[in-house]
Amino acid sequence: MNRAAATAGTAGGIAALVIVACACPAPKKLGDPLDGLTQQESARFVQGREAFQRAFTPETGLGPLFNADGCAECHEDPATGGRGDEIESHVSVFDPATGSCDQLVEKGGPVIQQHATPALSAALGIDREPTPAAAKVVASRSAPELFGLGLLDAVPDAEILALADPDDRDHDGISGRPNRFVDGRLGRFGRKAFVPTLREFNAGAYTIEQGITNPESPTEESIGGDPIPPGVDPVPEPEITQAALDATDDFVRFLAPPQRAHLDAAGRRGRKLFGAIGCAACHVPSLTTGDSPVEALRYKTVYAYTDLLLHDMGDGLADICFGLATPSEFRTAPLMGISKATALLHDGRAKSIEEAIRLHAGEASTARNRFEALSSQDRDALLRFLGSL
Amino acid sequence: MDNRADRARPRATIAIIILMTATALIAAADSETTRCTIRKVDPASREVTAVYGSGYALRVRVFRLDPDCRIAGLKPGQVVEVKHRRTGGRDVALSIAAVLPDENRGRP
Repeated sequence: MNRAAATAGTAGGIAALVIVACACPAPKKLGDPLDGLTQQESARFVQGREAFQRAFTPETGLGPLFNADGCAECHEDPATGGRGDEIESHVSVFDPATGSCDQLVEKGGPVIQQHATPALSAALGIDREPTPAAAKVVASRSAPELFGLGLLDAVPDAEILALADPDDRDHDGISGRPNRFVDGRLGRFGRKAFVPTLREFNAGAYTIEQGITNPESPTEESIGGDPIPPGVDPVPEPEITQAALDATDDFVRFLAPPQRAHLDAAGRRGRKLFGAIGCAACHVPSLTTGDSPVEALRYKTVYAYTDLLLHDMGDGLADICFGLATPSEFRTAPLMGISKATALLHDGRAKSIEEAIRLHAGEASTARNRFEALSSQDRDALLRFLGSL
Repeated sequence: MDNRADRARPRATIAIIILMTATALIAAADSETTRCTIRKVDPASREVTAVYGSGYALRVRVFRLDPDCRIAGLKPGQVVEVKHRRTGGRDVALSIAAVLPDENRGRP
């Protein structure tokens, strides 16, 4: 082969590589939409991101009590829809004698709003919602990332209920049980798996986090159970339209799950250890979605590493009850995206994956003990696997 | 005369059917059904307080009981289905039925 032919061959090879590279889908970034959305659904996602990023003022309905002026204020890191560094306060009263949970609805509900509009401050002299006197425990809650939640929403109830073992009939020490919303439906969203659907979570979040009423959550929060003083919140209800709520819901629903990193040999060994020491008993590696009007959500496998059920996590993590969840019961936290987290567990107290594991107790004690008993090499392999999620 | 009466009869029938349908629709729209958790049962004042809502935005609703509405056996913490309608600025419960755990199954 002469020099010219060799050059031409090399150029052709490079061109072929470029063509192959262009044919491969670009790697997903956090905050990107699901693969396989229709053109119309993609447009709804983009429109929804604008609604999600909208910042409200008192003149456009904010408050009079609120935690944030827009969804993206708390769900922003490392991309819109991600986590936030805000810590909220939640309250309820648990009666150990009866096992009942008072979510203090008559006293303003379980979420304490930490800001008040100037008009409310002027009227009542408060700069946040007062904590009800009955609340002896105040729980801290970090703002979770929302990536991939549309897939979890599309998992059929039956699949979650099939994983429940409330009486530990298989004697493995793990007894996941479902939480229920106030109307009896299976819960799955929130740190205590209280809310049945993503849509209701979004509609309710507008009201409790921003004081923005909407057609599906049309009533403002009370001021610790007392009515809002006249003239303080002049924007008529609902403060956003159905279209704005739908758009926000579309954005959250269509957010792609975080991409898992490629596993090397140590990571693959770590994945086996994850199952072998019992982590996967609660952090079930995958769930499968059911039927959905959105093809990108229909019959998909979601590697969320959760069973969406409640488990006893021990006294050290216990805080408040929520629905059927006792103070020490929490929903198995999804692990998708955990590699990017800098503050873990429901309140962000753990600063590393290893610290979060060591804080597991209750039903997770055996798995935690096994983790602690691993050789440092095996522990590193397990952490390498978790670092790929 | 007879011909005119014959023509009027079907029109009258159609008008009656429309009127009956409209009445039925209005009656159906008059009441709604809410699933919620009982917070308090007060037989003395004939009121039931219940919790409902969307997500974490939970709200309380006080139902005044219709004279025919039975509350025997109802207790706080129970999930119920309340058929109610707005009368005189208040929510009046026409019937309250406990929701059995099997009926709680949600999505397929």
